[in-house]
Amino acid sequence: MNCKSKKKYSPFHSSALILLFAFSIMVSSCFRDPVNVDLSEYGTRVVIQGTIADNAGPHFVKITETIPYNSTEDFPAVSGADVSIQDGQGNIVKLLETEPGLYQASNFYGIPERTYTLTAIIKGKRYTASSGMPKPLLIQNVMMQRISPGVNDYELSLSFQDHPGIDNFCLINVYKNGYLHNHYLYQDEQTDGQEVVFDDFNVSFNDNDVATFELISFDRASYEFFNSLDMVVDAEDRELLATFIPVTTYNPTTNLNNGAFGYFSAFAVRRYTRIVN
Amino acid sequence: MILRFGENYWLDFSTSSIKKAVKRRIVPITFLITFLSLLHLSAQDPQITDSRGTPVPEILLKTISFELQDASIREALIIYSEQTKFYLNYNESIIPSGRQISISLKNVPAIAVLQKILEGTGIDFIISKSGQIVLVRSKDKVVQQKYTVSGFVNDGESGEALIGTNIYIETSNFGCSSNVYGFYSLTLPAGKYTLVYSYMGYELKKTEIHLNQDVRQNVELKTIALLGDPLEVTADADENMVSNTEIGTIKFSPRELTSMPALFGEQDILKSLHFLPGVTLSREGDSGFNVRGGNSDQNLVLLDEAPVYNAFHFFGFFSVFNSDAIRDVKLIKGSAPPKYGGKLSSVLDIQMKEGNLKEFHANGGIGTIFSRLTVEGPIVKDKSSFIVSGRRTYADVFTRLFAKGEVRQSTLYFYDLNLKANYRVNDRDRLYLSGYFGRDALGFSGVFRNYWGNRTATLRWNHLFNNKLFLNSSLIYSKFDYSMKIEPEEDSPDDETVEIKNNIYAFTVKEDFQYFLDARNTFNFGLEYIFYSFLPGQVTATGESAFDVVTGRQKAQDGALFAAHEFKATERLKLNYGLRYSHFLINRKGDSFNFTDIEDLPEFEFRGKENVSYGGLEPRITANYKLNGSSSLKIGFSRNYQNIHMLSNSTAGTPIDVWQPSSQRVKPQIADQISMGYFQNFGNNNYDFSAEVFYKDMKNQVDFKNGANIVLSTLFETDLTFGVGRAYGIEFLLKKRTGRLSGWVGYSLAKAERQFDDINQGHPFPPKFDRTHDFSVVMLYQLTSHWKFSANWVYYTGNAITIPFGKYEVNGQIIEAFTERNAFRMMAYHRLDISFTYTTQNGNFWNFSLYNAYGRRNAYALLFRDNEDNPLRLALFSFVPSISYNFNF
Repeated sequence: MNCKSKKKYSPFHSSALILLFAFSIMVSSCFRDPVNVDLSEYGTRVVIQGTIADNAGPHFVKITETIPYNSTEDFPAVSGADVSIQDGQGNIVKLLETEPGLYQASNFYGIPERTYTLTAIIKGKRYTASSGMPKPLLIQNVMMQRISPGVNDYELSLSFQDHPGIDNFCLINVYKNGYLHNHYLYQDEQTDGQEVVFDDFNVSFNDNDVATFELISFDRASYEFFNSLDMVVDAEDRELLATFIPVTTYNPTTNLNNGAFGYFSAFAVRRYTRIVN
Repeated sequence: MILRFGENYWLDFSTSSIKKAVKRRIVPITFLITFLSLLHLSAQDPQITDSRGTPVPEILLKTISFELQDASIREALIIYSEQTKFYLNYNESIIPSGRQISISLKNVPAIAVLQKILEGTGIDFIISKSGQIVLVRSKDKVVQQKYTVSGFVNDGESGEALIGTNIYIETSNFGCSSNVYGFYSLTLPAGKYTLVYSYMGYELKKTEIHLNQDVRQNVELKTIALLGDPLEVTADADENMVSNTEIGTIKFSPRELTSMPALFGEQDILKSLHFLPGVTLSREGDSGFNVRGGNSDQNLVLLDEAPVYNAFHFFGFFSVFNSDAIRDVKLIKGSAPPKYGGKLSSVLDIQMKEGNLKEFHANGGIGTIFSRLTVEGPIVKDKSSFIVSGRRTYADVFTRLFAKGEVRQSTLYFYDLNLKANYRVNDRDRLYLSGYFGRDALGFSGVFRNYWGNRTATLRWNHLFNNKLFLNSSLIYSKFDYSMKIEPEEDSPDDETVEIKNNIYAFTVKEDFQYFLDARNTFNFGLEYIFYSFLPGQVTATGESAFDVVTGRQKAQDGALFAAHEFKATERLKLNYGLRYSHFLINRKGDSFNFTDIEDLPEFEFRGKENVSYGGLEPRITANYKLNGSSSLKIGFSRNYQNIHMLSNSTAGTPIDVWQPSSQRVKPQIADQISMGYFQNFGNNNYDFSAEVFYKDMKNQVDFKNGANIVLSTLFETDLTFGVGRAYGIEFLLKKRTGRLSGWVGYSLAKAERQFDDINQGHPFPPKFDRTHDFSVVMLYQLTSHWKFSANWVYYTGNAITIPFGKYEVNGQIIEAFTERNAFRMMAYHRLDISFTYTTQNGNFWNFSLYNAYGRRNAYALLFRDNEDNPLRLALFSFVPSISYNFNF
């Protein structure tokens, strides 16, 4: 089954956007004045981004804090936290702070089909999250096709086999010459057990370009988090949408507790690199 | 002397023989005389003993003279007691009131006067062991013959029925009110009565009737001149606000709105509601209204009994109700009587005018937004009439007002058309046919087109079986449909078009009986059966990514049986209790999908066929206890079920405002409300004060999960989540009804809350429209006989919204950090509107309005911008002047 690459907005989103265009004409002629809103009562929250891959590491957990909405400062790193990861089989590793806010675990093997739990104790408060590392999806094939005859521009497509009977989620990253061009999220509700082909990545490759595909398999919670990141409507579009249609995507769905933002994801990664010619 | 007594005897006139003879006769004679005397005496028994044989005290055997003219029985007894100096014991409640008697007796025993007073009342006197007189109801007397006075109450000039006219007996509190068709029926014991007909804004009418047979009394009332009559909201005229059982009910007629200032000068019934405590508008200019913390889809809006599914035009700036066509509006925010059902929070019952039965009239006007024309008149004088009322916008004026350079060709118009005809077949039968058609059209440069509109039709038949049993039988049709089409611009490479449609049809059969048993008891019972057909969504896309998504058409049936009893338990206590049983059946076909290529395949479930049914009992009880002639206490309890839901609860005019029926997953909403109120008239009926507290509990509330894809969620139910709601508060209303200066002040202090396991981590949060404080002042001042000045001021707590309080970085992306759901309160809203109305000699008038007179920029929305110091406050209207001219002839 073919999966089209993902545009930023689905037709449903764009229909909603266009729909409100007329109304926004009217709204845009209304009054706009800056007002002072005191947000200090909301304080700051901890942001934890942690990952563990199916290799020896190093695995990183980055801890920062939120800054006030209108701040132009850098995101402050949170030091001195007590961070550890355990694998549900009695193995536990403590992460060491190598840079301010960046905690690292080395020589700890991530193994598929185990559930990993992150624990971070920051200023006396305890944050935890669990993530199951799935059986990895394996890249079967990368095919190359000329866009139009006679021209050396190629389109690449990727295929892999979905595991039947279990829920599979993954993130596909596409790099051209070392730069990330696009990413796609996949879930197998309609394609369980089938051969999946991804094409139309919206990237054309020329001769001697290096194409890298990264297939990152993770659990449902990670999928939902990255999905909600994609759904996050940035402020400008929200101006049109949120005032008229209830926007229900607020804070991305996180698997962290205690009011922390961010995520903890245990994933299995497969890479494929190819020089185009 | 010879006395012959037959042949056997002859008298010897010798003394001894006479003596013997007389002696022989005296015994039988004496016996005869004694016997005759005794007979005579026993014929006088009722005068000296009571019905049980106990002798009457001597004092009451004295002869007196008693004169009385047109007095009530109670008065007669008091005067009698004073005159005879004999105390009468009796329970006040057995004395019939309202009867008038006249007595003229000379030199009769006092007890005879008492008998005369009690004649025909069904009351007897008893002499107690201690020699006291006690008055009791006689059990073996024949029941007092009763007769019924009934008829229709109409406006003398137009013939329109007057709804809720109060008809009562002058010297007592017994009475009734006319129903929605102007019909009333009062059953009383035979006698002479003075009936009073009273309706706010009309002259009081008194008629004397001799009720010795059933009487048909049709009455016409005269309006009090409009110029002199200040604007007011009649929450049921004078003392009937005190006696009426309907707690939390407000009635008014549109003519009272004509002088109030309004946005763009267009008076609007629905938007004027928000000046009353307990009713809030969702947002400035926004669609929908909220009653006591309920969602805007929880209001039953009826136009001549037909439900109107989307009562607003153009994103909620104007309602679909043209005041020129409307006769009466009733909003029930507390316990509605059992004949109403289907929505949790309120009933807004709007009755169209019937059309002048006597002569032709036309009225209309030109305002900033609409131009209006209404024509009404008789088809057959005093028998049949019609009314046609329409209004339409000035599309171009509007767009020019708001257009920026971008807008080239655009379509913007909306209209309303109300039609009605009625026919009085005979004295027992009337027919009414009414219809409403409205449409909104919005289009932009050929790129997209948006249409939506309501359509209703009602056929009603009033039938009087006899002068006590009234039937209103209705057949009702109502439809709302929406469609939107998006096409690419002409020079765009895309060839994708998207078309979205949704609609709802309903066909209702309703039988509503009213049985006026007697002056104390009225029954209301009947049934209502609605056949629904929903198409919650149909999306068709053509072009590169063609697909077709059709949600299964859903058919549902909503049947209800109801019965209510209005009972005047005592002089002070009136009860109105009843039950409604409603049953909902849904029959849904499977959803169908057809796609070639899917972009951004949403996660949804393929729904198969579904058959579900729900049923429940809805008890409704209200009680009114009169503390004295000018104040009363009321209490009410009600349960309501709701089986159709508008999940988005947002601005009208978007494809996500879709009505959906209950289903396997979406259970009927339930609300239980208890309310209590205190009412007081004072200052000689010039002022009214009311205070009401309520508590409402709602179950099976629906909302979207976080991250829901809204447009499709309404179609596919996957992202819906369910929870509970709560609202409670206190409302005050103080009205000044008469005089040069009139108006009202309303204040409500309330709290609404929602709680969903899937939202806000299960913590309760306020809905967006929660208003802690809501304060309104409406003032009308009659400057001269031609000029009227009016001002409104409102103040209310801002909306509860979710805002970003901070930001952070994840994977190189900067993300906004949001507060808990609706944890932030926008700034308070306040606004002053003023208007001047000039009425000419022939009734035409000019209205000059200034909306938002001190130009406060009330926040419509807050926009948080990245790296900007402060968020932007969007405000819609400031200093909006308008003029309108209204004519009538």
